[in-house]
Parts: sequence; structure tokens; C-alpha cells
Amino acid sequence: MSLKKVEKVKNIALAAVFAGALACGLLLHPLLPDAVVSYSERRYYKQFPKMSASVVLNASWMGEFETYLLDQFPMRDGLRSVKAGALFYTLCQSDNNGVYVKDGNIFKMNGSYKEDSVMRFSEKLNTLVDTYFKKASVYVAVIPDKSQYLRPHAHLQLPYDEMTAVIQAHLHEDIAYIPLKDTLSLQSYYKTDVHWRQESLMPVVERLSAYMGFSVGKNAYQPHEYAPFYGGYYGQLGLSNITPDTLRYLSWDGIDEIEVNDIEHPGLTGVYYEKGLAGMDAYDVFLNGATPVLTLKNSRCTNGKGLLVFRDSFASSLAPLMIEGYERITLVDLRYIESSLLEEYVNLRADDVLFLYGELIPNNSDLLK
Amino acid sequence: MVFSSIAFLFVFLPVVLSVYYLVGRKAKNAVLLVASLLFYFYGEPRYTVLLVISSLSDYLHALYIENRRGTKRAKYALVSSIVVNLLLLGVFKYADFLIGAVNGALQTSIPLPHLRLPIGISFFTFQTMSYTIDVYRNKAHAQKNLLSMATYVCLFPQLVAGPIVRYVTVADELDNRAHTLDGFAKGVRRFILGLGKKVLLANSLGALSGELLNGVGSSVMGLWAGTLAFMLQVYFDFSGYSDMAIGLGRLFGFGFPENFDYPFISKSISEFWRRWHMTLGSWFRDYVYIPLGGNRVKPPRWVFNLLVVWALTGLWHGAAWNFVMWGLYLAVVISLEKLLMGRVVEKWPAILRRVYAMLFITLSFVIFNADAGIGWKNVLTGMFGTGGLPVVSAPTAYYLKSYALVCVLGVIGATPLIKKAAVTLRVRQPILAAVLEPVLCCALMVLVVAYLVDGSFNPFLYFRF
Repeated sequence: MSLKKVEKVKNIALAAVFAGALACGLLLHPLLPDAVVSYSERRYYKQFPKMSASVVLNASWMGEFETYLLDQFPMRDGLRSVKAGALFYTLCQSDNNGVYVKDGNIFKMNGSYKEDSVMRFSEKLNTLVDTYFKKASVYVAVIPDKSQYLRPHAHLQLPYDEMTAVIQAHLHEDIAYIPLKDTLSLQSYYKTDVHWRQESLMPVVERLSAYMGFSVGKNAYQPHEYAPFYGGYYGQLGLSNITPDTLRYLSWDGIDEIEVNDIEHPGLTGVYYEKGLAGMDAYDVFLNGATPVLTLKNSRCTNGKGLLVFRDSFASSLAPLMIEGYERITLVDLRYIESSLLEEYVNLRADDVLFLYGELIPNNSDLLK
Repeated sequence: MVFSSIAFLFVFLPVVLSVYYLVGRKAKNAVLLVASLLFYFYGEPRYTVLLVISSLSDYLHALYIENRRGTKRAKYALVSSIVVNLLLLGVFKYADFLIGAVNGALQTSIPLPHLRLPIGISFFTFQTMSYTIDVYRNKAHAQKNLLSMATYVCLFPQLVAGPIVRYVTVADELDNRAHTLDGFAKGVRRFILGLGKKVLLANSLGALSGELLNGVGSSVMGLWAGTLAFMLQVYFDFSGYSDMAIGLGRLFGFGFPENFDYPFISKSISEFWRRWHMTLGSWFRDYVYIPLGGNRVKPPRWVFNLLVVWALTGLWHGAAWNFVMWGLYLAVVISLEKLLMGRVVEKWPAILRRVYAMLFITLSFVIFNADAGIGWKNVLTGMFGTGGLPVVSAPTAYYLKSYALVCVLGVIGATPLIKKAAVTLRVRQPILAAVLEPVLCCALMVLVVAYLVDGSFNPFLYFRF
């Protein structure tokens, strides 16, 4: 073949590849139905934005349209995997979207340490105790992020020990700090998610019971499994070659007698919301996930003790394992309810008060209202 | 609308290309004009009228100048045209800056209008000014066809971020251009290459410089590396955009001028600026520097000319004092290079001359980077070890390790090495090169789309200028 002909064939190929790619992008999108939910990214996809003269003239429609096109692009998940693969395996970059992998375990870079925020966290707790809980026994525990169980790296982990020392130093003297780090290990957490595994929490429950004086140990737990469980980090990472987790939740004889009252979802009554397993975040199986105020009542316990837990999502899987020791546990998530509204919506009578947060909350304490 | 968006790549471009190649020769400019106005409207709905005003103003002024060539009226028309363009720039780009300066100097409190900067205003006003000036200088004939004139001003490939295409460059092509398979294929290759530069390299280097200059875990090495990454980011961002613009121009039968010629291989600061944003440099040379007397004047006047040109170049890049300082800094180092250092430096080995040029250029980019997280003054002082910063910190080590290959690719990509390798392959293994080219372009396109789909909306840096 002459060079001229080779050049011509090459030019035709280039033009065809380009035109084909543009045509595919243009035609495939309207042919395929718009997706509503991304389970891998755990969010709702943008739908075609409504058009009006005002949103077009102020250009906000164009921004929304671009988001819509990005969300609904054909083979979006596959392309995200291509990007993650190129980034990790070709460019040898350490993270994608701030998420990184070590030995099949996915971690997230949690930003820089903010001591001001940590001190504000302690002050917030002190204020709540002064306002509502002068007579109760008050405890604080901070759950280490799973990255704390990796080899130390000043940039990839928050300084957990330093953080908890600052918290303790700024708490009222009569507030007891409960150390949890030694009760957990990397295996206590899901590989693809930020959360801890409920089946690994017995050492945590025992540590809490030792400090707080509630009794546990009578229930015989039976595990229930849900697989595959794709945790929140899985979608952020974008790689498809990571083994998903198996989610286990523990039931016991008498679990049906636990009365659950969710202020936001009055219809929900069980400890485990099994419909949540098929939802965007299977971890919502534990007490139906995020909610401002939720109460567990244990009719089998007659010690008259009540526990109030100020918490984030970690407590959803822990609280069912503590109910054995209390007649009533109330979970309050200050990310979703103002502190000033507590008296209005929460029964604040409690013998014990536990502030239980993952380490990200003290470092971002402005999340607490 | 930006080229590296899904809306452009998979909605706007295929539709416009299809319609453009379906209609007859006479309708092609109309298609391009409507598409260009839509393109601009998508990003700046309300300011699209400015484009129309600019096109009409220079169209009418140029016709008037040509009809009264050699008279004082022609001169007045030229002044009037320049005033209209500078007014557009002054009101929409410099009003806050000028009023702020007046408020600062006179202790007044004149309210700032806070007008949003119309995308690409610096590019299209400079293009239209060059057109009218060239008509006045009798270097170009006034375009009698309003459609052709408006197509030139609004042409979407170079509308919002250059290259600054002078009318004389495309005057013939506006009315009579060839559409060949060879031109189309070259356009495709150039466009995809530019897209890759922007999305894969510029954005990654931008992320790296952002991390290293955000003040978290700062270190001396981090500030140097962050500044170098920023410099490469700007280069790949802008030269990538220019590549895309030149490539798109070819798809529609236009030949736009080159805008970059591997500036990082320069052996002097003057050479760097001859290779960087060449269409802006030549614009200032032809329409400001030479009319001021250029270098054919006494040294003090020549230094003054340089100061004026570079202060204006700085202001062109942004209505802020750091850009003025950046321009003046370059004027001073270029003057010193020409008057004092040049003779000494010329005797140095090539590698030392490159290091010398890069050092001064790097420092200029510190001043240029007004958006650095910790502020450009802190970056500048920190780079030289003041402020008690460690030589290296854990975040610096992490990001340099993580982005090592991106940096290596960036450095190699900023030199002619890849181009030379491609040329050699084409000569020695033409069939292999012919097979590889579409395959690599295809792979690059897939990778770009994958990065776009996973990433957020990434506007071009040069849009704000």
C-alpha cells in the first residue's frame, strides 16, 4: 500500500472514530431511559431540568443541564471504573476522589485536623450537660475511624490520640471519657464502608457496660446476612474489582418485644428495617438510618434505667446491643435537630447520658446544631 | 459552554457539525454564526448582546474608515471604534478595579458596580480592535458582508479563550474555504490532543497545586512543587484550549494561528514570552509596542515602552494589582536581561540558561497565582525558607508521590519530545504510525470522557481573562 493510501485510510479512520464517538454520545442518551437512583454512588441522579425564561437567562438551567448530562451519560459506572483504573493502575495515583485502597479495604482521607473544632465539640457537650443533665451520669466516647488501624501516616489519618486528649482536657471533670480504640481493630469495620460491623461490637458493649454499669450478656444473638453489601466508599472509589462486604445484623429471642418510636417515621416499629437493605444504603437496616430522635423501649427490662445517646450513624448498630441493660434508650442526632428544641421533642429524663461519635464529628463540630 | 463539557462534546458539536456539512456552501457561515451565538448564549445569556454590539460597531466603523481612507474622519472613526471596545472592556472588566483604586487613593467610597465579567470579552474585543486598526492601516479591506464579519467575531472555536485570530488571517477563508478529509482528520487529532491536555493533565496538575498551596502542611518543597504544578496547569489548560480551538477551526475549514511553541524549553525570559500565548504577544507588539517606538529608541524610552506593554499585558490578564505587578516584574527582568544579564547568560551552557529562565518564570507565576490558598506573598516568602516552614512535610511527600507520574508526563508533554517521537515513527514506521494514531485518539477520547463523567464541571482558567 502506498504511503498516500495509508494516510488516506488513517484519515478516514480518525474521522470515523471521532464522528462515531460523537454520534454514540448524542444518540444513545435519548434512546436510553433516564436513571433515577445510583446505588453505587448512593444518590439520586439529576433529572432533566425544568426550563423557563428566567432560569435560562440567568444561566442556572445550563449548569443543571450539564449535571443532568453527566449523571445520565450512557455507561456512567463503567466509565467511572475506567477513570479509577487509569488513575490507580496507570498513573499510580494514591487516591481517587479522596478515597484510597489498602489490602482490599477502602479508606477515605478525612481532611486536616481542626483543633478549634475539637475544642468547640467539648464546649458543646459541656453546655448540653450544664443545661439538661446536671443529675445524670455523663459519658463520652469517640469512635476511631478505621484508618487509625493502618500504619501511621500523618497525612492520611486524623491524630486520634491527640484529638481525644484535647476533648478530655476540655470536658467537665465529672464527665467520664470511655476509651474505645483498643476494643476495635480493622476487622471490626466493613471493607467498603465507614461503619463498624455490628457482629464485632461485643468488646465495645462490654467496655461501655464496665464504665456505665449496665448489664449485658444474657441475649443469645443469631446473625442474619445480607450480601453483597456495597458500602459508601465503594461507589466513591469507582473501582469494580473490590470485593463487596457481607452485612450481618443480630437478632435475639424477644427482639420483637422491643418497641421502636421514630419521631420522623412513626410507622416504623422494628429494630431492623429490612426493606432498607434494598435501598440506597443497606446500613439503614439498623434502626432505619439517619433520624433526629428515636426511642427503643425494652419491656423485658424492669430496672427503670433510661439512657440518652447523642450520636451519629455508628450508634444505630450499637444501640440494639445495649438495650438489654436499659428499659429505655433514646437516640438523638444533633445533626438533624437543634439543641434548643430538645426539651420540646425529647424526654430528657435519663440516668445515663452517652455522647458517642465517630472521630469526624469532633473534627467538624459545626455539624452539631 | 466549554469544550470539555458533555453538553459541548455530545450535543452541541455533533449537531453543529452535521448541519454544517449538510447545508450548501453559501449557508455555512450562517450555520456557524447561529451556532456561535448559541454557544455564547449558553454560557452568557444576557451578555450575548455585547457580542452583537461589538460586531456591529466594528463592521460599521471599518466600512466608514475604508470609505474615507486618508481623511481625518477615518482617524476619528478609528478612535471611536477603539473607544467603544475599550469602553466595553473598561465597564465590564475594569470598573471595580478602577473605582477601587480611586477609592483607595482619594479615600472616597464610590460604590463598586460588581458587574459579572463577560466570558471571553478580552479576546473578542482585541480581535475586533485589530480588525479596525488593520483596515485603517490598509492592511485589510473592510468586510462588506455583515454575516461574514459577524461570523469572524463570533466564531465559537476561538471566541472565548483565543487564540486571538486577526481578521487578515482568516479573511479569505471566511468567504472561500476548503473542507478536506486531511484537514478534518488533522482537526480531530488536534482537538482530541487538546482535550486530553486539559482534562487529563491540566486538571490533575491543578488538583496537585491546589493541595500543595492550600496552606495545610505547607513546606518549602511543597510550595516550589505547587508553583511548578500551577505553571504546568496553566500551560496545559491554555495550550490545550488553543489546540482544541485550532482543531475545531480545521473541522470547519479554518486555519488559526499557533498560540504556543513549547515555551518551557526557552533559554531566556524573552524567548519564553515569544513562545507563550503568541497571538497576544504579537498583538501587543504590533498595536502597542511598535507604535510606541519599539526598540528603535533610546534605552530609557525603550524601557518605558516595555513597562507600558507589560503593565497592559498584566492588566489584560486580570483587573487586579497582582497582575499589574506580574507585568511590571516581567518588564523589569526582560529589561535587565536585554541590557545587562543577556550578554553574560548567552555564554552559559544551554542547560544553565534554561534553569535561569525557568527560575525567573516560576517566580512570575507565583505573582500570577492570586488564587493560591495561602496567598501569593506567603508562597513567595515560604519558597525561600522564611516563616519557619519545614523543607518537606507529610502532605507534600504524599502528594508528590501520588502525582509523580502525572508530573513526569506533564514535564515530558511540555517539551517537543513526544512530537519528535511521533514524527520519527511516522517516517520509519508509517503503517504502524497510521494504525496507532486512530487507536490512541480513540483511547484518549474514552479516557477524557471517563474523567469528565466522574469529575465536576471544570471551566478553563483563561475564561476569566
